[in-house]
Amino acid sequence: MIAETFTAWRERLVRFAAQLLRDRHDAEEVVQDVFARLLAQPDRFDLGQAPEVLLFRMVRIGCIDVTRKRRPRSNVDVEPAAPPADDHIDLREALARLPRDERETLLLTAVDGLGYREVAEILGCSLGTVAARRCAAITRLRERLTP
Amino acid sequence: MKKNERPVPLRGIVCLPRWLMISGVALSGACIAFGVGLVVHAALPAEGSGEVAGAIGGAIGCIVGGAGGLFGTLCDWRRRLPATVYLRHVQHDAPHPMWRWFRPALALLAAALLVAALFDQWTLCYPVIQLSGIMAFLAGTIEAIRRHSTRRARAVFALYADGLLEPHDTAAIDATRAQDPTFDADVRAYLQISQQVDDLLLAGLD
Repeated sequence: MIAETFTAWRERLVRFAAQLLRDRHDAEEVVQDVFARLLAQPDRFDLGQAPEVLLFRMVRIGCIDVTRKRRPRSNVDVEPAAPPADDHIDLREALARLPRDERETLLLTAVDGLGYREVAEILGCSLGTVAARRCAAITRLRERLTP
Repeated sequence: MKKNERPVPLRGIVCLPRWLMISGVALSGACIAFGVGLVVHAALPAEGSGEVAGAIGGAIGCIVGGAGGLFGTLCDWRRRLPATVYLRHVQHDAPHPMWRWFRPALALLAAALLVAALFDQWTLCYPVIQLSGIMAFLAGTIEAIRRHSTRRARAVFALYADGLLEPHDTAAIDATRAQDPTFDADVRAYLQISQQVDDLLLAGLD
């Protein structure tokens, strides 16, 4: 069961963590740690019908822990300016400057296989809040990207 | 995004109209019931005719006021129901004009309460306390409702953009888009950014 879940969701979990942490190596460590905990205590966690909700929730908490260890607490994670490499660079910068709750919501709603209801469960808020945050984030991105 | 996700009913997202309606009906109903109680009280044998006249006057005030409140509540309920109502909040996300009175009214209320308490001048300060209190309450309530409605409107809009509203709500918003080119352009710009973001995130930022 855990092996199947690992195969099915690992890449999406690593991508989500990498986008939150902006470090692929740290992301892989967080995901490995989550699966190690699942293997060590299989009775404690119920993967049941929707394992993705539990997995993304655990990975999100793992990412928050890593972020806390890295730097002082802040709701806005600002990335140092990088030289423009392609057309997406402005969008990337704008994404990096979004408030954390809006960025997390955007990242999760973009994951293939997660719906608004699952994202709401992962983030521990209502479906309406998820939709409102997504709209607020995209509106903010639009304002920042419009010259 | 999950494929074939179940549509979300509007009432699951927008709960304020329901709560406003329940509160309005409860308050108006209580007011009317109090008026009816006064009529009953006036009909009972009373010692002074002035008391009867006062009770009838009060009853008329309560019943007419309560009926007006009930009518206004039901009109507001119908007005807030369609999904398209909320889109105006997304288009015009700015504080309500009354909001600029909130802080001055609150400061005036605090000053009047302080003066009344320090110098024991409650009668003198009462008009200022009442007026500033009403102003602060109205400005605060209206802005709180507007902010809440704007957040809900964003949710409605996001669900519409992702095709997750129920068909009749989607059709109502489509009709509004067809009539309003500015709104239609806003929706197209939103969908374009939304698609770009999803593509970028699916491809990975690293």
